[in-house]
Amino acid sequence: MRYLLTKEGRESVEKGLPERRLLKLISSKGGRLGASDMKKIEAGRIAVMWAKKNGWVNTGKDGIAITPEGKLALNEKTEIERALESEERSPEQISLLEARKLIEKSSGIEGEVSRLTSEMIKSGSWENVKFKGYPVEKSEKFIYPGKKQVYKETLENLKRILAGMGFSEMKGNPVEMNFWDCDALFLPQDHPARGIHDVYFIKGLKGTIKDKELVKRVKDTHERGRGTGSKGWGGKWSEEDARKVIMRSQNTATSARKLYEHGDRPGKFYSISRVFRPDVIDAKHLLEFFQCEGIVIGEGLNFRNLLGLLKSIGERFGFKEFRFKPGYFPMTEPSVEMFAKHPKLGWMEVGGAGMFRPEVLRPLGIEKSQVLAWGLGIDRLAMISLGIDDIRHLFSNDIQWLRDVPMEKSIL
Amino acid sequence: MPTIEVSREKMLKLLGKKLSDKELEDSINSLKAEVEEPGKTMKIEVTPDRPDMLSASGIARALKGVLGIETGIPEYKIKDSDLQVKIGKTQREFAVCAAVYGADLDDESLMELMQFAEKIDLSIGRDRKKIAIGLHDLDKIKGPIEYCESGAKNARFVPLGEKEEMNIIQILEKHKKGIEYKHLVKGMKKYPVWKDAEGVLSFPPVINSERTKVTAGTKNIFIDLTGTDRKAVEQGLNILLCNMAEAGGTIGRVIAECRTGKEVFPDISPEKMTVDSKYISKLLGLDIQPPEIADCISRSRFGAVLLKDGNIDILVPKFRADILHKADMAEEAAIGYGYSNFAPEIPEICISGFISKENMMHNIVRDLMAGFGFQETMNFVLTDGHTQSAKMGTKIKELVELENPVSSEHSVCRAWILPQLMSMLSKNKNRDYPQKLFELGECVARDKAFDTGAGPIMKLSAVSCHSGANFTEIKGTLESLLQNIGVGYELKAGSHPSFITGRCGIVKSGKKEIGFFGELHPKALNEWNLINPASAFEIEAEF
Repeated sequence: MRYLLTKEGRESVEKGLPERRLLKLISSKGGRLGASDMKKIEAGRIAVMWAKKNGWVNTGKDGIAITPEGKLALNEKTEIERALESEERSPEQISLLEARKLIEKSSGIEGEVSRLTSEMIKSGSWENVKFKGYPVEKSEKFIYPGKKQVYKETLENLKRILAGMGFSEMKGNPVEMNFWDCDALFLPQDHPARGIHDVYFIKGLKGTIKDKELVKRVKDTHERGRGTGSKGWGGKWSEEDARKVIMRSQNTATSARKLYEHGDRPGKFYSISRVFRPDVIDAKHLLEFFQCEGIVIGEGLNFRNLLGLLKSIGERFGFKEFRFKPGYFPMTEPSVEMFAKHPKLGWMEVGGAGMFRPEVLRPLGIEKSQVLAWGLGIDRLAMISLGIDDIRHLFSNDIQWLRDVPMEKSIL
Repeated sequence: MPTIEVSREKMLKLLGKKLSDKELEDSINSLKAEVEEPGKTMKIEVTPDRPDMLSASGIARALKGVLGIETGIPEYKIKDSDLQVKIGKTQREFAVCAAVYGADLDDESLMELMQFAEKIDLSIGRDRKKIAIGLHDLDKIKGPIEYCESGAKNARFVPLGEKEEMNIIQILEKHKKGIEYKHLVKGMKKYPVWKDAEGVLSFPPVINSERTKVTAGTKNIFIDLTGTDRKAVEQGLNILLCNMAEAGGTIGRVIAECRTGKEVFPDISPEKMTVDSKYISKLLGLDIQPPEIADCISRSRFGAVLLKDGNIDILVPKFRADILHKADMAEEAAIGYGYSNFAPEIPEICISGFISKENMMHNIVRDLMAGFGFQETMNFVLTDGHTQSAKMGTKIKELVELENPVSSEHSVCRAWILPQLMSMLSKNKNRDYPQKLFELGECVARDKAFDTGAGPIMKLSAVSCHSGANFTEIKGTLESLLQNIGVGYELKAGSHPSFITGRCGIVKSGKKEIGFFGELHPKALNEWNLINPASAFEIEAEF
């Protein structure tokens, strides 16, 4: 059984049901209409009747006013409106529309038809029918796909790039301890980067370091340089301080753990994970963000290899011109900062690297190999690639932004 | 990183060489410094390990080396002063002092000196805790000088910048610097002061006296450093003196009467170290001969004498506190050689990279969820306790909490992701429906298996919100997902405070309960101001 829209039905599809039009009108006039204005309303009697039936308005001698239910209804479709819009109408919906004379039964096939049905195909009645055309140039309802988060996908693409360069992922723990985040990396215990303004401390947890020999080696290295040939920091090194549990503040903590586990043999590893630092969130800062860091372990690696490694990573990102300058990181010496030339933004800092200090390597059991450590400013690179200048968008809660940003932007 | 302002003209004058703007900028960038803002007054950022470069004279000294204008270890004019100084016991334990003659300050060099002292205080001084510097016009001082303790009310003087006399209590309560630094003298019953024959010279680490103020006409300077760390205090003095001597002054040695006997300040005799040139060329990957290595070290302003056996005897000047190991020397040699002169060479480590199975499984999950029409999101691990618990109608036990959060919004680690998805729905009520969100991400839980007592746990959370959202939809999605990732599972009736009774289930994998699913309770929807129904699931995603 086929149903066609009546004239009233077609009008309602085009302009909205009379009561809907009335509701919008009253709302646009601040919620009330005077008695004189009421006379001018289109299909006024019907509109008011249905609006009252829906509980949307109150009428009186001086006019008509919107109710709280009416206000809510501004954002909600009624059953009959949904029925009108529906492609596949349920029997209940058909009854509803028929009762209100918005649709009627059609005996024969005549005029233009919207839907090709399976019946028409089976019976061959499609031969007697003209199909209604659809506007191609006019924009219709936009379809949102199920979709990946564009920044997360950018990071996944970065992982694939690094795997292609021979690196494998290291896994770490966002809940770290000073021992791995700072002490094993030869940061002195009074370094400002370890204070309460630079690191988050965790309540009620204490770290344990099972390997007591390792603890002793790190302690001796801090205090006296312990056979690394270093002066050390002097003073007294506190195991209590090292066992304090913190939110990981740099991914180099994961690298330190990896060196300890992996041992003195060749390896290439990276970590793309979150780090946490007390800060105020604004367009340029987050207190939780991603770092991309890695290490290359091997005998005979030297400073030129450090530069070569950084350059090859930069090239993989499409940069062609590079500049190196001396840098400073507490756990590496020599250290370097790499700048690359971006076609639009000019020279920008892309990453930093260094060779781990012997004071870091020896206590962790690395005697023969050199270890190149490198890091990329991945948030910044991603923002450039995504075409955004507010870092908060990387963790956007705006569904529309996530829906609108093309996935092509996740390619670095 | 610390930043200083230096006049370009002054820099060129100190170098004694004419350089174009670009040449000057490039050579500064070849050091451990960076020209942030070029111009007549340059803003230069200096790495934290080079406090000696926090003044124009310090940068000029380094530049002269790399430009070949003056290499090797600098020698400074030093003579004995005739100052009588006594250093006694105070609660700000370590104190040193010295003089500089012929400083001949003008407006510009005065500003530079003040900037230098301030930067030292802030950086290696750890904001005056470890080191605090006092500078005085020596000609306004009447000896003998003494560092001692004083009662709060006895020490009265006109503090720098003031007109009236104040005592220590008043300074700590009313003076700007007193308020700023009073935490450093907290709990002291008697306070440290420097005195001369006429009265108080300064109250470290807070403020100097107006009487001995250093001005543009000052010719000779008395420097005092006090602090809680002996090594830091001595290093601070050495750096200050060497930089002022580099700018043309003569260092005035002081023989002080200390508790342990006589001590001489400063001791700027260089430290010695011997490094094998082969160690350096190997580490740097440079195929150059020992004499050239020695030359590079010398360009970094160290004394370098090549010995017959290939070793280099190195003299480390006292303004360098950062040389701990021969690896530091290798870096100095590299800077002397010029980083831009190195030919990068890719390391030949033949190792295959691989993507872990876990990572691949995660991406399969993400593909499937997108296939079900869900939009992926990424939220912070740090969240707030109220969102995690009360707003979902439940109470999460043992949240991992921060001791020092910056704001309550980010003060605990998330134990589950669904609250953040609900929050996101509540922020997008004026966007098109249906709204279907998912997130596969790290949560944090207490767990003795981790050596920190807590560790990450991957969770997958999804919510579907629209006028027709219901239990059947989410159950169907979850079952299809689990089937497609090949995880054996069992769904059982269950309850959860955020879900409607009778429309909630739990997910079991083997004996373990790994998650839940259901239709959100209207109370939970009300908490988030949502007017469309929603259904959701959340499961552990450890594969």
